[in-house]
Amino acid sequence: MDTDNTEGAPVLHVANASRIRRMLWIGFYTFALNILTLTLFRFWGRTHFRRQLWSDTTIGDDALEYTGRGIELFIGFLIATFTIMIPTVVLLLLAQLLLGETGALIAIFILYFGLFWLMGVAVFLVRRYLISRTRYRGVRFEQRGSAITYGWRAFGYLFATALTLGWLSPFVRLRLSKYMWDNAYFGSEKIHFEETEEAKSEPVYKSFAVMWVGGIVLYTLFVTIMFNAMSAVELATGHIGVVLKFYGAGLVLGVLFALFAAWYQAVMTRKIVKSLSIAGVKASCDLTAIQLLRVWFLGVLLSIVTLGIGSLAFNMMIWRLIANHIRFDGEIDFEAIEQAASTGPSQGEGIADGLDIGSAF
Amino acid sequence: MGLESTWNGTYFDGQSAASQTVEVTICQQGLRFSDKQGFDHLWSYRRIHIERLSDQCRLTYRGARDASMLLAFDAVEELTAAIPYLRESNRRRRQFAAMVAALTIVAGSFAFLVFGVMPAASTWLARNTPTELEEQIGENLASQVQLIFRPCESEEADALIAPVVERFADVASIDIDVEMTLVRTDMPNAFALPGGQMIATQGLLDALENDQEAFWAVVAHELAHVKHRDSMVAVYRNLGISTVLEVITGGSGVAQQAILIGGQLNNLSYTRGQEQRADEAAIELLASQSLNPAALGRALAAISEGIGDDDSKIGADWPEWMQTHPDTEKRIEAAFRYNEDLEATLPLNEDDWTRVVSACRQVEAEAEE
Repeated sequence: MDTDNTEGAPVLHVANASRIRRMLWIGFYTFALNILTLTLFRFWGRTHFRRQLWSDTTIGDDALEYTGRGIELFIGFLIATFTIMIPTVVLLLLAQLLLGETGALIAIFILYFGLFWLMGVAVFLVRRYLISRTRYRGVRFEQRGSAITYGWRAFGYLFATALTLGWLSPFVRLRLSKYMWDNAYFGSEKIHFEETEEAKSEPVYKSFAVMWVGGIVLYTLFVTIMFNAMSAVELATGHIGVVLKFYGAGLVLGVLFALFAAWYQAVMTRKIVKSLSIAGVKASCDLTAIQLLRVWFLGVLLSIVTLGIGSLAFNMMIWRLIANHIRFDGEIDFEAIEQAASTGPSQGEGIADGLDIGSAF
Repeated sequence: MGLESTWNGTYFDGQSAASQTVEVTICQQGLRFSDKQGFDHLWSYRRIHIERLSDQCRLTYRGARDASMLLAFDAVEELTAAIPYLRESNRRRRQFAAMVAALTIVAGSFAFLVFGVMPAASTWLARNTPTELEEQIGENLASQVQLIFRPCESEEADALIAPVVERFADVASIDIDVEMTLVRTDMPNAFALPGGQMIATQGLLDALENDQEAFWAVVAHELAHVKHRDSMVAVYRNLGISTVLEVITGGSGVAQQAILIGGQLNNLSYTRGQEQRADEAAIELLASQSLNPAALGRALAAISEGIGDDDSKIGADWPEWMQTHPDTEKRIEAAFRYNEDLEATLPLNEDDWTRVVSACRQVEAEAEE
């Protein structure tokens, strides 16, 4: 336990000491073995990455521990594949082949709506698995709550967000975070998500408005540039010059948009972290947009240079940055925290893997 | 094993988050220590797992769920020197190799299923699909295609084309009802769907200009696809290969994309084979109808020109093994090899052909009025 130099109050710092070279190596052999095993190795690669990342992350003096196994992810994948993914794909194809155009459209519409709901369920299940496989000082974390409830909430919020042209999304993100964190436990100790005064002071909607309006302006600019810079014939025939102009304009405007997005993401991260507390000890975060932007650029560059193999290292860099800016102000009575009641699910992440969504880790 | 040695360790009992400083003795039987409740523990070496952290090592023990012990590097060095079995690198390497070998075998089985069993099964299934089912599938797909490409719905043009298409189908011994639909789109193209459904675009008629013979060459080519059930084979192949590959690989990431591209390249080689066979059958059919087989070459050249298939277009200079169709120039050359100096007997007279060519445009003009 450290102490804050200014006030002498106890402080528990979160820190991550992961190294890019190590993560690149994991990314490289995961890539190579994925080719050899028709990507089945990805479950083990992901597990290796998490094990390394967790072990490199400390809270106070003690490192986190990832206890998940590749075989658990593989079994989750098999279950989801045979019970959800293959039946869904086959139903979609059969609907197209055997039903008339109206019937096919209705069937596809229903299935796609079902998939939107399932995406929420999958996100919750990923989180439940990940948290249940995280151990700290010998005590497991636990995610309570219901995947189905979370799925419906996420589903409803998704449409509400669409209806408000995205303006509800900060509220939605906070509500869904609250559901997750309010149902999370470290052993017997509940984690709380309550907006403190510090959290409330974060300019969430201001930063969102800048990102939203900035995004519209930049997009309009992009479309204008594209239409002024080339003829309809060039657009229709897909000439190389068009592609270069497209990516060139996209890159410049994308960098500008990243500036706005980084501010919003940094604000949102700070707000969520500042809303968290455990055993009466509040978390705080001093992540800034410039720090985030720097890591984004380096990470994107790394991913491009390594043809995507460095994406794991990119994820690590983001986690390392966030972790190194989190701390808990106060002293946690670890003696009073007992082991979690549940051991968590026996397998995980199958649906998310099938839908190609879920955790960056 | 040398003399026993004792080290300080930090023990987490897995019951609470409290830490305990314990004296750990490295002895013959294993690691021995007592917790603060006074319970004696003996962790036998066979069940110990060592993980190297940044400043110390974490030991976990199979059989003591959630419990862990933090030991200094020096202590673990001594431990692994005395018990080489505990050297993680050796043990992990063996386990890792076994796991990768097992996964490779599973992946090999998948590959055999995807690239061996499924293509063979697709051809067999296509040939044995009841005609009624294939026709139903074809009608459904045609109706979906026509949501994007609106049909011309020119009764006059349909009435002129249908008898010729049926005659060609009879000559080619096609045992399924065939139907050619003209659609309103500027892109020059024609394709066959399951169940004898064929689509040709207004853009194709425009690209061929006044070359009626070339249009029938395209029809003959598509009829060959119908005869060989190529569209049904494609349905089954896509249903099987794409679905399985997409589901297995999860569909994103570099390696995933590499595997999917591998599957697509395999599929492309198959479609190129189908196209070549359709060209050969079309040449045969044209010759039997007193039409010049070289018309197929003219049709291919016109389509190629119509879609802007020049060198500046992305993919135009890609090697043949990356294309769905064989190299167009080679196909044109092959068709021109059969160039015959004959007086073609065209199926439609000049007036009727003009009506067909202008059918879609006329419908569009009427609709605009």
